[in-house]
Amino acid sequence: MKNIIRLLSIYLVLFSISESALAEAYCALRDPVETINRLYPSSTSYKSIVKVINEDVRRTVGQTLPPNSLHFSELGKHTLYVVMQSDQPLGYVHVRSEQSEWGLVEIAWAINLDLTARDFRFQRCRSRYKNIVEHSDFRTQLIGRNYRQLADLFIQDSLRLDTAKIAIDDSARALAEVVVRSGMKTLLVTELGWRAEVKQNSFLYNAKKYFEHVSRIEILQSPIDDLVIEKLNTVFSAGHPGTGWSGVDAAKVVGFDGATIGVLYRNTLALDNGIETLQWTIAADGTIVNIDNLDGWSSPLTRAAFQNNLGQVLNSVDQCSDRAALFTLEASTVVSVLLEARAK
Amino acid sequence: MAPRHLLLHKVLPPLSALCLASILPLSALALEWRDNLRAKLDASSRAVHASDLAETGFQHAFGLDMHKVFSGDKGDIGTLILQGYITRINNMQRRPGFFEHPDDTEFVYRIFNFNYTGLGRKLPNIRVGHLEIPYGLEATIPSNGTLRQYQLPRNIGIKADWGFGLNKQHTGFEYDVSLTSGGGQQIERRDGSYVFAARVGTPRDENLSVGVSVYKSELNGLVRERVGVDARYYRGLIGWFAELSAGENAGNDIFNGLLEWNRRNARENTLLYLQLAYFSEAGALRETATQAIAGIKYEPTNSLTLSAQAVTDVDTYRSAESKNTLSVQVRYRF
Repeated sequence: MKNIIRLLSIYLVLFSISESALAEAYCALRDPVETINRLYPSSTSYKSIVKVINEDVRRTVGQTLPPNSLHFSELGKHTLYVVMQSDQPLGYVHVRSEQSEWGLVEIAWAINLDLTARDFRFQRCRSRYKNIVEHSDFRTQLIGRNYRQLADLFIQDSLRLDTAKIAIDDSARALAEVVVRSGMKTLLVTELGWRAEVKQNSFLYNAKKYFEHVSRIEILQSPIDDLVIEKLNTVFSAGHPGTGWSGVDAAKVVGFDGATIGVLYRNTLALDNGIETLQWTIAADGTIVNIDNLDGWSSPLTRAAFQNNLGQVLNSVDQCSDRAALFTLEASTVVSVLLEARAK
Repeated sequence: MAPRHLLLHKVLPPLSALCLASILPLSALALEWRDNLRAKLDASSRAVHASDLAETGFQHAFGLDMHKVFSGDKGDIGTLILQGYITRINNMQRRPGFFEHPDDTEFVYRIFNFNYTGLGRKLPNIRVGHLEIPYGLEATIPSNGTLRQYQLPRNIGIKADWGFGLNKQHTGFEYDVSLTSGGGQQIERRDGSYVFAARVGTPRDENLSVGVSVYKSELNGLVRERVGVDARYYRGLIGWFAELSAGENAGNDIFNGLLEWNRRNARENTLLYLQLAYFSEAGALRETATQAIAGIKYEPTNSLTLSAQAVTDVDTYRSAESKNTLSVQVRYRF
């Protein structure tokens, strides 16, 4: 009896210092090698990045994606696999599990570097409808979609897929809904949990998309400084377009010869669909190479307004006929200071 | 064994190695060491009561479970798993051979190896250290430190051993081959002991997976040979597992089998399983034994696992006595 009481006391102490853990021993962990090979046939290797998915991430997911909070077994340390071809990242594989009536459904998501869905594969699914949902007829409807575009597949304010937007056999609809929700959650958790790595790779991906001979990118820390503000005040002497600076990110694109090819500049703006992140790709000579909405353009008119500025070099308010041009002038102004200041 | 001897020779050396691994985060390599590192303390207590024994036996284990992935610029290089447990048994009449007495303390290595994965997509990974013998169902199911087992020691004489192996997951199949010393907890060979085992199987993530294993060993002078097939099939919340082994023990024909039915709840924090294990050996006479096993595993939190298992001898070899055994275990990881 004394032994039992002593044991119970020890375990009570242990429980009191509890934090999230994995009930199974770590030898049960296996890299999804076969899945990585299937999802990225041209890959040569992969690189694991282990991060803690904590209560903060859980809370954000719960607020952004109700009622899809993370269940407690999804907290703790998780691995994002960066799939490589030689020394260049091709994309990610992130395995997450969803509770379902058939037990936990474990889905390996292949994610592009711009955080769009590339493909998926069931790691574990005990549903009889698995083959229907894993068939290319369904999978191809998800490829290339970002978080918002996956969310658009649901009937507004419901957890039901809108069959006018996505085709799925009625019998497999419940499993398909689990998969699409898992896709949204996986993209969101990847962005929140691996923010620095995702940012780095996303800039690299976009740099290679719009420039040739890219060797690397360099993230520019704290891009908005006194010099930038001073220059903006000069350029926008009659009034600023009204963007904030909390969403600003920038990266310098460097070529194989070590010269700066251009800058990728991101900021958040209030557009048609709420707060959206835009990315300006600006060459070293100030030419606007491209303007992307990283959340996806919701209006062709807005997209056209921004893309009217492509190929131009903006340095004065007089060149701007609309808000899209003013926002672009602001981006160009910041980039011009960054190129000058950081080159010194 | 004197407590001082025990402390100096059994507990301190491996404990020092684990402590060294744990304090590395304080060194100059801190950041790199912490990258991709998982580490938990793991405590468990088990009570085992057999109907043919007057007193209940206890086993308490406390150790570190560590998992570290090493990466380079071009990808992962390898995975280090260190699981070392100070294990105390009290009144444990039936125990693994590395415990000398019913009341004993040993430092027990579970999985303790490095798997080098840096040879690319086609070439095998190379595992070195204390590894699980790749044979049958056991190779595909995490049973480390749990009550639920797949009869590996009784079938092939050993569950984990020091040595090296090759392994790889390919598209459509996976394999694991090992050659180990036969020393069990000891690195050294004992009287020419060795263990060779190999398993090739279809991907274990699928709802139906099958594998074929071969095995040959010499342990304590007994030569064992086996060929085995295993299969797992899941449908909804129910799983069916089966394993058949045929071979010889020192020239005697052996035929062993195991069948498991299991069911989980939708949250997968409760597992119920029923097993039927069959053993047959044909020497001068053919002897058979059958065990029926029922168990439950419940995980009320991510850290805590409660398990119970009952084993009944339906039929035993002639020299053995039938018994019923009840085990309960609490395990906590933090």
